[in-house]
Amino acid sequence: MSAPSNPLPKQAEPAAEGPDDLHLVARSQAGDTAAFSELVTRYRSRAFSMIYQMTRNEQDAWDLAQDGFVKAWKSIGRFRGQSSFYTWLYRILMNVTIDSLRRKHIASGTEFDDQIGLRQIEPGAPTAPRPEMQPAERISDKEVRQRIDEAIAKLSPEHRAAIVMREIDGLEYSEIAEHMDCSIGTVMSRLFYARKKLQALLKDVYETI
Amino acid sequence: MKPFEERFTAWVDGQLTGPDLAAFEKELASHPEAAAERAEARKLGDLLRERPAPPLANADFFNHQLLQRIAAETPRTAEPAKVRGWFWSLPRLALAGAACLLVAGGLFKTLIPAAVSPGEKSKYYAQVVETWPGDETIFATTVYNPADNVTVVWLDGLPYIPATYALK
Amino acid sequence: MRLAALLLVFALAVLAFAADTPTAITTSTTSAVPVLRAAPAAVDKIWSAVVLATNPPTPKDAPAELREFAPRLKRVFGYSQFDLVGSAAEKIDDRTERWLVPSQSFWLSVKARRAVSKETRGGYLLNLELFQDNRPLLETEAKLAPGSPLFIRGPQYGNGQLIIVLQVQR
Repeated sequence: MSAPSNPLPKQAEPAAEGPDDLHLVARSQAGDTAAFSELVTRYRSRAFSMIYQMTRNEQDAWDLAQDGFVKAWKSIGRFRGQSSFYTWLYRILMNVTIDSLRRKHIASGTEFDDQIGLRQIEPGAPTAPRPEMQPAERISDKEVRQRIDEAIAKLSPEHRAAIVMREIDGLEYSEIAEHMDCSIGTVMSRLFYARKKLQALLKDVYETI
Repeated sequence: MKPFEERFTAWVDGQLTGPDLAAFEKELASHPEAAAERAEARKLGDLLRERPAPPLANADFFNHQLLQRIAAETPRTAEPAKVRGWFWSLPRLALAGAACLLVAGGLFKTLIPAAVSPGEKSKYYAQVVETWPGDETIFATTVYNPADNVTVVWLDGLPYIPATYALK
Repeated sequence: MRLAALLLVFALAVLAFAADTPTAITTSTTSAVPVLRAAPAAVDKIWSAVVLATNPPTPKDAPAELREFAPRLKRVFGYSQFDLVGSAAEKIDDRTERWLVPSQSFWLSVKARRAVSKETRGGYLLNLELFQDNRPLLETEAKLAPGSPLFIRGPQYGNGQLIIVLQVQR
């Protein structure tokens, strides 16, 4: 078998990276909220999009994006330019989101069991029994979104983060590991189980669209 | 050797090359469903990417609300008092003066501490007025140890940190 | 009327005189509404340290920065060796937020205002926020003064315990 290529679409780097961002950061560090607002304008859409993919809820994504930017403002004095501003911001946003998801599932009393449905799965085995399908039945886009939302909601915050960062944001394993403060092996393991679980939950979806 | 899950993930993502790839594909010969698994994993990725997040509605309001929140949560230095016009008539000023004398004397006597002489041992101990744990999984308890004149805040619910984690 | 005016001047003089003492508050006499400002004082600092407490078979002496605290740390927490992971000190500015970064992983936001009650003996009312990386662990309002430290017991690390030490230094 030849090595397959699996290029992942990477989000376009922000056009205003480099000196402009650093200049705005320096002004923000001096207390200039107008400069910080300009940074927010540049990255708010990406921030919202990433958090939405984690929470699958627009209101939650709005609130958590706000929380993340406030946190970034409060800690902007710690930004030393060792990474790009967005990389630094991304980590804050991800941690805020993961913390929120953890608190919610503790409050709800439910548990994320990432092993549900995987107990009988061995490596290489089919992910789920093929359901009975009506040949002519197709799922609407709205239903697909809903099914995706429900499936992702069943993942633990850490597995969710790994899948979103890899499949949607196109980050490398090393970048994911840095954001999640874990080893690359842990990232790969989380991806393995998250994919398995999502495949089991969504198999009938992507076979009928 | 890395666990199967890690190698499988790398294989699905096209990250395995050279001898590692050859060795893993040889191992997969005994897993006939592996190719189908990889195809499904890639379909899953497409499924997730084809449905991007909705756009941020009312984006300008997002900034406005954020800046309001920052203004509310950022401590401000005291603004200089504005000079007002002469509001106090002389009688009012006189009464205020008399009241000031009484209040100033009382405050000075009771609240302004005397200078601590070098040899004097502090009888003061740190006092924790209130604590707010960072999240619901953390619990804070405050204890004063009079024998050692030290106050301790015990935090419970913090996850264990392995020794491999760099602290510095 | 003259007497009342004289009393007013005398009251203001008393308050102005009190400004000579280092821990007093002052009023401005240049505007109709007085503006309160803290009197200049000796430079006070808030000092913080991240300490790793362990129980090795042959404990070694505490480093110089921790010698003042080692006996108390030992009695309170029961460990025999204390290593300094890092320390940081910042000048205390009334009402200005400062960042203390004793280590890369643990850092604090500090907002202080001078406490005026006699019991604090020239100390500070601090709003402290303790973070581990970007995760807030604790926010606390505490009154601190020289000579009385605050210990915060943090997470377990390896075979030991992380402890954050805070003290006002003059």
